[in-house]
Amino acid sequence: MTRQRMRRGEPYPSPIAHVLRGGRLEARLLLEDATRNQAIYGFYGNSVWLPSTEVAAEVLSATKLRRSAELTSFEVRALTEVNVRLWDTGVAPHYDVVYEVAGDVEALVASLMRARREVVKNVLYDPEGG
Amino acid sequence: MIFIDLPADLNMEDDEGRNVALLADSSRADLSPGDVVVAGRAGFWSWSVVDDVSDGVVRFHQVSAREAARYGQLVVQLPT
Repeated sequence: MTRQRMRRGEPYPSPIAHVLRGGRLEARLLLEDATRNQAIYGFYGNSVWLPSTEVAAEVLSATKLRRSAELTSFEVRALTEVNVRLWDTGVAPHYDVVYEVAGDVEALVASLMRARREVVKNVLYDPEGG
Repeated sequence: MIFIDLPADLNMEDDEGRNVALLADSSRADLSPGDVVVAGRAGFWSWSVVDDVSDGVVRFHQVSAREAARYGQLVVQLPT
């Protein structure tokens, strides 16, 4: 039985904002993660984090993303260009990237793989953090 | 070498800010609250403590190696 997923109802992020995801993109892993999300919450989605004035990128890098040596950064408009949307799910600033046509996981993964992005080193990487 | 007990996307959190994974993906079918596991994937993993298991979903939170060591031995002999 799938669980309900909370949407926060926040305004859609600015097209020039950036979202972060721990790790480099690999199609196989995106597919695994989106499929796991579907099994738990009933929709295909890939998790990202949106830095803001309340939760800066440095804070996310040192907390939610501290176990990843590399981070993938997308501009929001780069996601829009490949027909995916951001859903404000869970606790801010967590978002799910979803494809415009629900249920098309292959299109979701393909879209993310062709989206403009940058891989940056997580200077606050902490493999032993806690 | 690190052995992943509980494959998971550590980017993913539930509505309470806890990480989540599927029990069916775990190498340990008997997970229960308080168990220490290595969750994540190569390159993005963490020592973690299981908070609860229900309907095939494991909820857990990340801890340091020092905290994980309080729960028991962190080095295990893998089957050959």
